[in-house]
Amino acid sequence: MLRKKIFREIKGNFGQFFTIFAMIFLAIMAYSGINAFSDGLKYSSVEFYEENNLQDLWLYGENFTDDDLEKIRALDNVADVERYLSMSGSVDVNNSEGSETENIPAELNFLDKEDDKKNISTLYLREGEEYSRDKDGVWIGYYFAKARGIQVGDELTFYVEGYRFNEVVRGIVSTPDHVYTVSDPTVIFQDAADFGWAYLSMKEFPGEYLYDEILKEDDIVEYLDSADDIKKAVDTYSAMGVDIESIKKQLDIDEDVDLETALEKASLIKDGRADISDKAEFIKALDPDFDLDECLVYPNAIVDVAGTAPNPYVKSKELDEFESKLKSVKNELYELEDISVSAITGRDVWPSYASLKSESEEGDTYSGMFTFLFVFIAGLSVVTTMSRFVKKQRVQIGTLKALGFRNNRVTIHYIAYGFWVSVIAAILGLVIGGPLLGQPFLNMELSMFDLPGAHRCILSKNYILAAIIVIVITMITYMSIKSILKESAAQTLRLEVPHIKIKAKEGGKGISAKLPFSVKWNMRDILRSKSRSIMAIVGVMGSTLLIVMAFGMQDSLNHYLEWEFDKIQAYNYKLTLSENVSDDRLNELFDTYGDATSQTVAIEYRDSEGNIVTSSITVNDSDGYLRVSDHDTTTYDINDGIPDNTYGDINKAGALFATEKLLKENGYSLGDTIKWRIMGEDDWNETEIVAAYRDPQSQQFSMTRAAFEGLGEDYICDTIYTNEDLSNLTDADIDGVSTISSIESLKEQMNVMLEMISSMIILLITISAILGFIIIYNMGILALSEKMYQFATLKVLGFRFKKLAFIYTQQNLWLTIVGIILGLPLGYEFTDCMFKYAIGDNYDFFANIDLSAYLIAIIGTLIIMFVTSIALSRNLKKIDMVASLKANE
Amino acid sequence: MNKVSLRNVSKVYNVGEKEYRALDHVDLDIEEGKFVVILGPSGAGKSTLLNLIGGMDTPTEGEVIVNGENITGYSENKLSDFRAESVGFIFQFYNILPSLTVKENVELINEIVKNPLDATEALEDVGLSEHMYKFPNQLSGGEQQRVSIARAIAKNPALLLCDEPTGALDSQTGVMILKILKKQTTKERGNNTVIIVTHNALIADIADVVIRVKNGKIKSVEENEKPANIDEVQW
Repeated sequence: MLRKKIFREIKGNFGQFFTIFAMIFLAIMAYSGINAFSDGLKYSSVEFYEENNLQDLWLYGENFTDDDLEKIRALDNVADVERYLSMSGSVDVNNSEGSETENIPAELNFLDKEDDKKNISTLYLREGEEYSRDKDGVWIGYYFAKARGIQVGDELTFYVEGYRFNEVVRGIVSTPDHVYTVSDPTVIFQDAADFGWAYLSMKEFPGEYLYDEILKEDDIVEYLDSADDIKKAVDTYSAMGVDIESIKKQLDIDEDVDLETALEKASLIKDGRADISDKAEFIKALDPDFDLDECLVYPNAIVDVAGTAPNPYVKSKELDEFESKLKSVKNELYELEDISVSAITGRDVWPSYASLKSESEEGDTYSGMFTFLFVFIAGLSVVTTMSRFVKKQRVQIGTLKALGFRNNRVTIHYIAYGFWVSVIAAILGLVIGGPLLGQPFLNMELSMFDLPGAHRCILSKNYILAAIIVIVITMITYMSIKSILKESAAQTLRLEVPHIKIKAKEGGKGISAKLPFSVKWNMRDILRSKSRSIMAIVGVMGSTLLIVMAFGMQDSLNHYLEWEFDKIQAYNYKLTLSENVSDDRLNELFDTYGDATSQTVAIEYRDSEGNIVTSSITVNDSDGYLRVSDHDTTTYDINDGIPDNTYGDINKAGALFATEKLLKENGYSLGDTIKWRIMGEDDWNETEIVAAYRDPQSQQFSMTRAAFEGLGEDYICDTIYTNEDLSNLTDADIDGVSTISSIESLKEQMNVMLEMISSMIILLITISAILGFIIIYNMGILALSEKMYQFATLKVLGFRFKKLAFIYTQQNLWLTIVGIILGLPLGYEFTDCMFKYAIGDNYDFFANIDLSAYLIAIIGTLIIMFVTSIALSRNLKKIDMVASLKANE
Repeated sequence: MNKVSLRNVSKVYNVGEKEYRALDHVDLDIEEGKFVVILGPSGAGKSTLLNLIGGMDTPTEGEVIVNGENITGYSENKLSDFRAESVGFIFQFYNILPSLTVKENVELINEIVKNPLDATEALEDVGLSEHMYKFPNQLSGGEQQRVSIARAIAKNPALLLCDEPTGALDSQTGVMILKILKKQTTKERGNNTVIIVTHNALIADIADVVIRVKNGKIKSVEENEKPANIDEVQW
């Protein structure tokens, strides 16, 4: 019977129970939805990495030989090692319309020709056939193939250092080390169609490139230079009847040399008429033992450290042990004799791994912050609603007790209201959150990350939070009824005596005596109904805060774009130079585009705890095109230093500029000395930090050219900055330049990246705004229902609807204004927190909110309040005076 | 002169699919300056009658004429003005506003009536001048009912409508309240008409007119030639 009562009471108080339901449902749906995608990304990546054996270490050197590999494999904690040659190249593909051919940059990875298959970062086959060293052809990246409509069986033309070769697509693959690929580290967001990657056997490496490299060797060049003289000598000696072996002796040429062939082919080579077979025959003629395979170099190697890498997202003893194992392997590798390892990096600095990790961890901050807001606001609101509901049931509780129902039975009956409503809301939130929110977010992420088998994931923490919310709501219901149950049945049946703590001044001479009736009444009503008033303020505050966040984030992102792409990167075009550009060509480029340049130097430095950290120094000789920013985003030419934040001579040898965030996170400050070395060099520098600057998107070091050269290092620029109009040029149009990036395209890349972040947050904020609206509406209903009999009395006395609506709206307006005043600064703080913690470690954002955002928040919240008040005050028109007054009796 | 006239008035409530006829073709005239008691069992239609006269409800059919004006077709706002200017209500459970002091509850009338009585005078009239600055919850039931009366008479209404005004009070306090109400019908108070709805048949003895209601119909209207003195009534 009591069960029927529950259903009917819920039906009768549908509005209030629905708001409780909606708040719990939204809170859990948002939390589980965000976690479903962020945990989904984390666990899907962990699974993919494990199943396809992502490398633990990347090694860079001149050439890893068979012996080197054996030595590395022999190390205690190394399970396996593989070598390869990774080169920047390009590939001809159809444009998006399929009508023309475009040349697109591509990373080409030539695998060890001895390896029959890849065991580290194995190729996950999407289409086609498995990789084998015996197969010619290429295995191409899945997202690139998809974006460019490349099919298995297509023949593609590739270019490496100007050498062209054709390969048939044998397979389309994904790999754990290419979940996210960018053409160079300065690219923020790369459209899959604009950069490709491929694996192929070293056997496919363009031989002509190798022969041409050999032809550049000193002794060969020397031979070619003297070929004409040798030929003359041979001809002279031959005419004299001297046999060729004697001629060779005479000319001090090795007897194994096939001199006739060598001279014939040398002539073709010098005339530029030699093809690859001519070059091969020429070299073979000079050295019959020549083996092309011995010329192949493998400057890249990847290492699988023994044991499976533990889940990096869960702190554990195993993770710590694995980290120290990695550290010791790194040290052992550096100490290996006769192996030149110029640099070793781990997963954390590998762009694919780091980007995915950072992206999936962003969800933690969103979900944490939003859930905190949701649960806090919803929880407080539920407290008020449930306690009001139970109070309204006072006489019914007394009746049940008078009828002989035990306290336990009554308690169970009443907590059932909170329990069932929250259980149903929690279950629905958990079930719907994943598919409704998690999946679209995951899909958005998967447009960037090539992660096979990515799936949503609902971890136990979601169930725990849902259970906690149900328990809290049930406890709140219990606490609401507990005090009533303590009373006797007779006491309970009597109406509760209202407690008034307000004292009116004798003689009525207090300030309130002069106030209009509506002001007096509303002031006292607010004080009498403290919890409801606080709830209303919190609700409005939450709503304002969320509106400030929504618009503030957009403003802050726009400010960031302006800061980074107008103030810091103060150029129109950036030319990334190809490797090995000759000095002559470089001077031509300077003449055409100016000599504002920079060089990025990969370094390792020791943090304050002595750990080796990978980073980079931008050696800035850009004449103010690439600027440094102070804390407040004012930018300067590096040669001018940073006013108020420069300590010492910026041009002395090794004087470092460091970003503020890097200094803070590593426990360094201005004037400290940092130990660092250029990647691949053995010697450590110890130089002073002379300036701190701020960079919104990369935490690293900078240096003037004079300071860099003061260390005895050669400045070899890799980038030219210019304001020339290069809009009609493509990458291939300028010899010696690998990429032309316009500032507009960089902005566009960033916009694409930020759109994803924005859309996620805007979706969450929409949910939050709905929540805020529900809370304000709920508070309005509560206020109205509590005061209904008073309004009925006023109506009976002859108060018109407009006057009643004015009184009702006046109170709401006051509470709203207080809520807005609190919500505006909190909105700023939350936005700032979001930028500080939700964005990856490499970023240094801060909230920068325009006045318009605050105005929109104020006006928006007032509109919500007025719409809600007007909608609810309509009930005042419909007040059944008789029924309301009788109900009070 | 008739203060109140009802012509063929019916009030029908729809309860689910059923019709409940609270008043059934009622005709009634009440003269000015009379102390009228409406008697009848629960559900007879007493309160409905009072609510229609006071403009708190509208009839399903028929006409309600107060002070010579047919209020049946009044708009919501006009009914509010009518209640504000012409009618004082007193309820069993007082319905005074807990957030306002005693005096402020009476002064509330200043918001809607142009020339109300002075709140202090009205409170003195009901013997509450000592409690003017207290809040309602600091008063006894009888005192709260007197606040309600003071608020009603402060409007100086020609028509005072009381729904079980002594229902929640002890007999001694009830007598005090009835005396105050009766006083409103005197010439010095403006010859006001007081209509009381009650179960309590004893109150009928002090009335000028007793109207008995049953099943939504007027059973009888009796003029009391010699109304009893309130103090003489055995409660």
